[in-house]
Amino acid sequence: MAQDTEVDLAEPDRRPVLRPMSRWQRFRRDRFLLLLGLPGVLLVLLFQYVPLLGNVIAFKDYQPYLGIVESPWVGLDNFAIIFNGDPAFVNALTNTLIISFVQIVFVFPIPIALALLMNSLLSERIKRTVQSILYLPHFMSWVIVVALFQHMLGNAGLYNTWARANDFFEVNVIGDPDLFIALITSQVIWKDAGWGTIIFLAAISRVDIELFESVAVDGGGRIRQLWHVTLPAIRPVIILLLILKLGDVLTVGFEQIFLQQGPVGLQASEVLDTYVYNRGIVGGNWGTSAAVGLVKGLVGTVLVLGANKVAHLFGERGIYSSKKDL
Amino acid sequence: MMMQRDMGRRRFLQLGSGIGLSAVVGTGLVACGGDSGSDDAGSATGGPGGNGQTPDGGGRVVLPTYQRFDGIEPDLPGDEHGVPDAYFSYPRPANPSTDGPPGSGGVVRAMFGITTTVPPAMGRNAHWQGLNERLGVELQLNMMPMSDYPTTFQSSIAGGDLPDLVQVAPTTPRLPDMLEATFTDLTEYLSGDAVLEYPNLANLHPYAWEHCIYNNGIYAVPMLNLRAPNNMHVRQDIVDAKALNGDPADAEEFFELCQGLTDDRANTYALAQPTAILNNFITRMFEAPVGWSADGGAFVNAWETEEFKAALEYTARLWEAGIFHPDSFAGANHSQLFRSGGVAMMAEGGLHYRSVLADEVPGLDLTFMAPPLADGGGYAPVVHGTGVYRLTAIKQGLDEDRTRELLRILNWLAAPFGTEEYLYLNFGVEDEHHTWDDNQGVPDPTDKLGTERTPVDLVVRPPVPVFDPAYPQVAERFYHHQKQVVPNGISNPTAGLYSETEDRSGQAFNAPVSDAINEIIQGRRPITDWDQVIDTWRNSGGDDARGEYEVAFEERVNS
Repeated sequence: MAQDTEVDLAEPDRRPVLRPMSRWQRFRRDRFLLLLGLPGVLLVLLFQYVPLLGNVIAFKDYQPYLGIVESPWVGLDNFAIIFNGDPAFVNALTNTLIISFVQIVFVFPIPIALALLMNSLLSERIKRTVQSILYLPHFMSWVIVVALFQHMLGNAGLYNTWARANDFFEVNVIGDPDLFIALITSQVIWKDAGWGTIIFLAAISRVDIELFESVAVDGGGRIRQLWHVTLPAIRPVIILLLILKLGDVLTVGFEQIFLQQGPVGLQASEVLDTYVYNRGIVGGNWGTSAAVGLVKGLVGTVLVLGANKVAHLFGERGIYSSKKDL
Repeated sequence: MMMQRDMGRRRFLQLGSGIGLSAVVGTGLVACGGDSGSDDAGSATGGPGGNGQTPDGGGRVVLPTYQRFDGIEPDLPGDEHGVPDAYFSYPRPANPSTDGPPGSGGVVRAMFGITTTVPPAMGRNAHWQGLNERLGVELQLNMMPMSDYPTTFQSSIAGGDLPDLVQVAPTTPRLPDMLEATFTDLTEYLSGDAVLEYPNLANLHPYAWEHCIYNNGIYAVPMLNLRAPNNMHVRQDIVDAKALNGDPADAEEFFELCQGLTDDRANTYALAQPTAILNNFITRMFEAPVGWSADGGAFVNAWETEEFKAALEYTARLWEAGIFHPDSFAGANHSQLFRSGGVAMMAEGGLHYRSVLADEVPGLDLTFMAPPLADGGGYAPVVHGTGVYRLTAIKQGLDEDRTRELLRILNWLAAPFGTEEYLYLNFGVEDEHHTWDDNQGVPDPTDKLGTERTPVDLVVRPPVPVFDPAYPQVAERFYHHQKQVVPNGISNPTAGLYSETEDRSGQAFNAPVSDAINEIIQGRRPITDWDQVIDTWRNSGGDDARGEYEVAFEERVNS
């Protein structure tokens, strides 16, 4: 593909600066903007960075009634459950990774496909209606979504009750450990696929209409437009979201899974978050919970930074780039 | 402990269905009422108190002297085992049990979880304002749904900003040390005859006080629960309509009853709570221990017994026969199903029947079933709980006068049935919150009572009476059921003993067992796996907990 057909949405304004300004000059020029940004920065510092100090309890036997300072140091004891090969932990880790992988493969592309489909709708009114309907499930809490699925598809749910009364075939999805991952993946798709289209739709809407026209002039149909214009245009956004998604690879949603562990059992459904809850918080082992949280955070950071680096190697922007990467 | 995970999940789901598809208030009650029983039965956390011991000498703190309130004669009398008193009318006029307002005009702050909807704020709540007037203080109450309470509790403890009176769950991790570090040692105010200064607190059963003693001090006032915390509720109308025998004599007859009550084409089932039914009813039928059993100081866990294995196998048979609601493990709301006739029986906490009756389901006729012995020959001994639902502790750092004032207020709030205080707390002011039904001699609540009643009975309460003016017949049945099962009950010998292993990692080594129980019931694992499961449990912490309990037990016996 020729380099000149590529559209870079995030390309900043690169008009040549007449004479380079010193740091102080730039500061004076932007002082009001900086002042406007200050409350936000303070908020982030106060509620995002200061609480990070609380991670120190990962190295303590923290008890609320003793406080952070008084709780005794225990070195790396809290990290033991991660490294001592406890089969329950290994099971939780395996399940987490499998679910994450399945969700990246099956859930991630769906909003893209949906956005492309919606974009091809001609009538604005239908497009808006479809969008609203697809966004709606995102605003339901997991408790409601899980209850809805159970009431519809449960073994005594709407469908199966009807099927039993009419000697029709029954569908026993809920409560079958083998179908658990399929179930929770479909729930995620049902709930969030519509919402996920927003960013892609925004990216698509910024594609220069003339590019489509050029393809048409060259005799290309819709498929060619898609392949040569739309997809390349939203590629940076796709890669950006994929990298961010990697940061969450050890987090697959606590509530959704916790609510549905009962019928399928721990072997099929225990993931890191529920493991930490069951082993840590329930037993008052706050330090252990913090330790696992810390390791999850570190792994996530490493994955995001690593993926970003890989993206740069392939000439992509990734989530951010320093001068030397460009 | 082993039920705690289930409880959390079930409550989540019930709240979910509550918001979306049914009533919230009822489900809140379900979660708390029902599970208090299971908590009690499996509770591992507790102080060095004992069951039925009279501790004196040996340096052990002396329990508050028990002095039964004998102001009014119950229509059907309870007993010292914990059978509740039953009443069919309310004394008129009701006499006060205290003289004048106990407070000295300041502010009293309290924080507690509740099982009903939060009442209107003080400014718009005549019942609350009247309570302030009667107590002689301004009550600042921080009330929240019971499901939110543990989080708020832990963050308040961590933040160090505690109100004067704080509700404490007996299952709070590190309970003994937490209480000692954070709350007032009430021993000098309440131990022995000192409690007689607060006669309504002296009216609370000694078995409940046992669970307020930690690190050899009295750290809390108990909030009483019924002694048999779990009862089998039966839709007698459904049993009668199908012409079945509602009083099975053995395991086979119970099985037949369940089969008769189940019709999956009509989506009706006999039962919906496999684990609760197993732990509170079927293990009773097979006479398994409750939690642990202490045979001359050697502890055996119920899971290790042949009786439990037989009960588990029997439950799996029930599941295979399709007797349980098929979404039982997926959070099916048994209490809602019971009302709608979707299930005909449920195991629920003591006073839960009141919320069922309050819904006035047409045709619903409620009875209670005692578990038959599996092989016949009488009724099986039921589970005795701790008799405590929650504790209320007083924050540290108050002077003696203030502490005594708070205890006087608790004493006022613990006024027993028949007193003026109890009438106000539960039925408000005549003509505003209730009218008087002269035929029955009982207060008849108005809607205003329903919205305004301030549930301070979640701070402290007198022994729970059986009193259901609108349903005297069910009340009488409940009383007779209690009288039948309570004296014949067994309790967990570890209740009141503390094992650090159980507290810290009980969840970790018990969870695989609970999981295996669920799998075996559903037929996904054979019962032959059970011994292996228990071996793993022993090695991963069960044996350590056993050792700690045995040591603690011996210390208690020797003190």
